[in-house]
Amino acid sequence: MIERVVLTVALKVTDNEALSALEALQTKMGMADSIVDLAREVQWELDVEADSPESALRVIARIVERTNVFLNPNKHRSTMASVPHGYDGLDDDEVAILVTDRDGAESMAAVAAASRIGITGLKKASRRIRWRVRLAEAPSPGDPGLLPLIKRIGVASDRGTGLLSNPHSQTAFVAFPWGDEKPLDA
Amino acid sequence: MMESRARIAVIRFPGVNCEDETKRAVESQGMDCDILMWNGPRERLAEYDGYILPGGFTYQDRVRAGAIAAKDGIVDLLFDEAEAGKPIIGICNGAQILLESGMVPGITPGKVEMGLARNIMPDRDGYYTRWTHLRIESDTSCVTCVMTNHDVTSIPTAHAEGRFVTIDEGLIDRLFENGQVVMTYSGVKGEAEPAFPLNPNGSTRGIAAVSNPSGNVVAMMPHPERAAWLSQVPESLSGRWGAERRGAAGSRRVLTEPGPGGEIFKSLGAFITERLRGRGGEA
Repeated sequence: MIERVVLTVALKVTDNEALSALEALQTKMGMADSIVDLAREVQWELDVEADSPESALRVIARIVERTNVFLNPNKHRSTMASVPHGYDGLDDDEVAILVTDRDGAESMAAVAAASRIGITGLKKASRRIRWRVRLAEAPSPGDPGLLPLIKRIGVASDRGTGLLSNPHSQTAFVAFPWGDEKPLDA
Repeated sequence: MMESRARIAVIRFPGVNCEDETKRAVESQGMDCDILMWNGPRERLAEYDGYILPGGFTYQDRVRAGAIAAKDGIVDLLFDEAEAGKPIIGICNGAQILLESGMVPGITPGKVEMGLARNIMPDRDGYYTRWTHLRIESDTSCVTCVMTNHDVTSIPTAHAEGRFVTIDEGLIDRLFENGQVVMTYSGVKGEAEPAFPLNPNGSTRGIAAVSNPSGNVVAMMPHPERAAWLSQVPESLSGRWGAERRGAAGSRRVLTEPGPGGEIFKSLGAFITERLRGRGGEA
């Protein structure tokens, strides 16, 4: 049977991509009053042929250990889970914006790399980005301005608005620390 | 009276890598060209007759190709120059900036109406480069105005995110109807909508270049500066340009004549001349 494992990878060292995005949001897009910090994680959704979720986790652990295709242990840290939520691990003043390519997110190179070391159980590997946005004011469920603010950060709708996803090529959703998730499509 | 030469500014954002060869290609067509820094004095920009956003990897393609450069202040100035009718060409990464900023297709100027998504190719992913055959779909734009509709030219592509897409139902049909689809990937005889590798990235209906409604702003994925001279064309290429290249073998004089990319820059010059004539200026 096919089991899904999600491998979350983040840099241990400074993430220049997250810094550039933060700088663009704060200074080029005038959101310095709203956004305090930004962190980026790559989440790999990995479909594995395995007898059980535990066995699937073991297969992925072997691939991670024996190839550099998903991460380099010298500069990345990672966690694995069977069914993570977008809001897992968020602080009270954070939201997560998860961005996936509408198509083209699948990595054939990852499957091929696993196959080259004799692991044929990995059937599919798809990538998405999880941006952790630390807001100046902790979000609250009743705030009517919250979702518009998240869209202004997350969805490129016009010249000055939105950075983290292009709705024509990507889908996005937001996850809140209180355990709610909402689509962010244009 | 002496004719004035058109002046082109090539904008150097951090991370571009094709600005020098683009400048040489522009100059080879009788225009003057300067490379301007993206954060240089703003007042200088208005002195130029046209602009090119060259290929490369602005801001290292962080977030998405072209996404961060599209938010730079200089893009506001380019909007103003485009509004005034001046030509702007975005080549590859420059095309990604024009789409991410909403300058192209510009049905509603400033609204992001399309994306350049990751390549989709059978059995592979990522960056891909090859010479492509291109069919001219609109011969009035600033990159095709010396060509004729359904002409076929050949120019190399090299990118990882070059697939024109939109979620706006009907937009692609409208772009074709408006003459805003400038070039499509084709077979060597102009056959439409070919499969990979002739369409190198899975682009919707084979679209390779799109303009704004006026045709003065064009986002094109192929790299004309890499095909500006006949010597740059591979002898193995099929079609008219491959035949010309094989015929020129051994002749230094012929090899330094314009290649297929030269016609793109020649169009830019002609477009500016026509525009200046229309305004009663020197041509």
